[in-house]
Amino acid sequence: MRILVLSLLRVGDLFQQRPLLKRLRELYPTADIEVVTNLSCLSSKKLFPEITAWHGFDRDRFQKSLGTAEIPLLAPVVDLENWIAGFTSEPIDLLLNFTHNRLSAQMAAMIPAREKRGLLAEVRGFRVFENSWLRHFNDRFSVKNGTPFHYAEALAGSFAIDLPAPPVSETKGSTVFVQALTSDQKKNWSLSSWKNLVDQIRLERPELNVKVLGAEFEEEKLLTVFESEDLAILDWEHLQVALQKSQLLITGDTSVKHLAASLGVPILELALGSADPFRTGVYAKNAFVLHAAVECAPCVHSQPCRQMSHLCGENLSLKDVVRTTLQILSGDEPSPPLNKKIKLYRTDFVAGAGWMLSANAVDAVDQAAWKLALDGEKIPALGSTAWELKKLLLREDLQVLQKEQRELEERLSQAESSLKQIGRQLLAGQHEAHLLQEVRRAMNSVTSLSTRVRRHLLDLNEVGIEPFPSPLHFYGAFKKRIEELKVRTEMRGKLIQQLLLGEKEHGKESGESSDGSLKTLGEGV
Amino acid sequence: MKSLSEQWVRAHAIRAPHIVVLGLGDGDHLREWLAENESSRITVIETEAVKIAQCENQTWASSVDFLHIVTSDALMEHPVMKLMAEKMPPVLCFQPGYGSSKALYDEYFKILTGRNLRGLNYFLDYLGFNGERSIEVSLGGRLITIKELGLMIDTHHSGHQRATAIRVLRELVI
Repeated sequence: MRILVLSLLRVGDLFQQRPLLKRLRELYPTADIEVVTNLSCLSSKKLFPEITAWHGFDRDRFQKSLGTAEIPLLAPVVDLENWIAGFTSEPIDLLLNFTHNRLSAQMAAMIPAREKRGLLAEVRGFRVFENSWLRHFNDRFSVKNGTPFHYAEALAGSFAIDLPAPPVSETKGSTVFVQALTSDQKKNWSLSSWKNLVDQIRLERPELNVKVLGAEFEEEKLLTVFESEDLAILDWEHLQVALQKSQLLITGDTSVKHLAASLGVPILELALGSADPFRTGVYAKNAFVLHAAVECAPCVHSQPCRQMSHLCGENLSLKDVVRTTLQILSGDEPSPPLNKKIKLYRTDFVAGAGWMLSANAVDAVDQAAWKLALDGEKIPALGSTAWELKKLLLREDLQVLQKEQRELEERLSQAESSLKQIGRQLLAGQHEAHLLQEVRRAMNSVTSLSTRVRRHLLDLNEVGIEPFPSPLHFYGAFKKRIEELKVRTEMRGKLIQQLLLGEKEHGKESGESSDGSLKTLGEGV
Repeated sequence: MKSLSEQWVRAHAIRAPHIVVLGLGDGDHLREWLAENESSRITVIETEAVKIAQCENQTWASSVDFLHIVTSDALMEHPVMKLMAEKMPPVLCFQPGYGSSKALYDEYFKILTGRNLRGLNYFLDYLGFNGERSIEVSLGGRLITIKELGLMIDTHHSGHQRATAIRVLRELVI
């Protein structure tokens, strides 16, 4: 069997996809698993023993030829076809497009394969709606607060790959590594701050070896503040070896972070600029994140900082980072940062819900409900999910969940009623602009709702602001989103009922409550 | 101070086994280019026969195919179009060679690179896109849309010959 994976983003994304590639190898132990990736990612290929072959795509040349007037218009297309022909003489059984952008969709369409999954360009657009996870990924992943899931899990769901729990971070040695530079200036903490951090760690913990990581092209910049003996300039293979002997990695949002996460290395991430620890944070358990939760964060990756100064970096004080670092190194639970604009999170994994940042019960139940709804009929896990989750629950948590459930059901009912009105109007051959305006106003009044509920209503809110060519188009889009919300809301309701049922039975059996957990049904619930 | 030919070569730092050049001039730019691309070949299209006669016996001329083409219809019928469709070599313009023929060379450029209807049709036919095609031309001929392929082509960009002129972009570029 021949499996081809399209991974045409950056090396950090490839590292985030590593759990999926490993799982593919477990599922297809005798298959040839091959990866199409950008040339710039090939330097990391030895870190992926599960991959049989690599096909490097010269994206820079392709992009340049598209934008060069002297190159005939269709030359890049023909070149691409010829390049693909070079590795598709043997039939491909399964093509998986892990990339989810236009170029990969075009490439996926051009590559002959018996079965194709993921975003695919077709004559009349892009095919993406083959499963609910892929649709969720397509519609929500790039929207702020659009999804509760980590990138790895959303991607795995899109390809029906069941991932094991992420690794648990564990100390492996006595070296503290610092990754001071990222690919985007906005994500960088100042080099002088990094220097001061290294000095402080050495002062407080002289028995530890502290090294500053960098690639060859970063060395010159690092030497502007660090001494050469401070640096560890390593290629990917040596970096992996080094990280596996580390006590802690302190890093910005970089590919090194994702590599370390996959190895179970203890990590403290400094999430600045466009870093989004909720979606692409350290995919491991028991890592820590200091996140500058200023209003503009996370900002857009490919654009310069729009503030007068680097607000997020300025708010991340040396004092907070030093204190958190030393507490982690001592094995203590880190204290909340002194600056209230900086949030400290611990990564976690909750069975039934998935990876989370600073898991709390309400978020976990909500996330689990999302997962159950997206997994659809094929999961029998409602009862077992409830069983796992009720261990986390306090009485107040269930009260919050039920309140939010009522809000969701109200909004759903309101939306269904509006949909019926619009439908009647359309059948009568009429449409009134003011009716659409009313719907839009109603859908947009969400400020009093929690972030969790607003996330559920995101699709409906977008319907309220998107332009549509006609009321009929609006009706169709609105109807589809209501149906999806209904599935999620019902699943959420079922999960809450299971949790209530579990507590009711617990109350009958024991007649008493355990410390901190939800007491018998009916008490204030 | 660099000569015009040297400047031209610096400005056209494209490496390819074969290129097409519009405009012969005195041939110095071809000589300079070949000096940096020794194993490459040039097909040059020139509207004035006398200029070809002046250059075709030069020492560097063995690496050059000289084509005397005076109308765009003649270009469409010439075997060079098959070369373009088969190998899609880059097409470089030598502006001092334009003179009064600028408009004609502009037309040649668009045909050879597929940036107008005639050229694009030729390439599409060669690639096997036969039969009914929905091709729309708008903005006074500037924008070509081929719905079947999902292509939009901006054949003109700010009046600058070397500016990005492709609008396939929305479907092929990230």
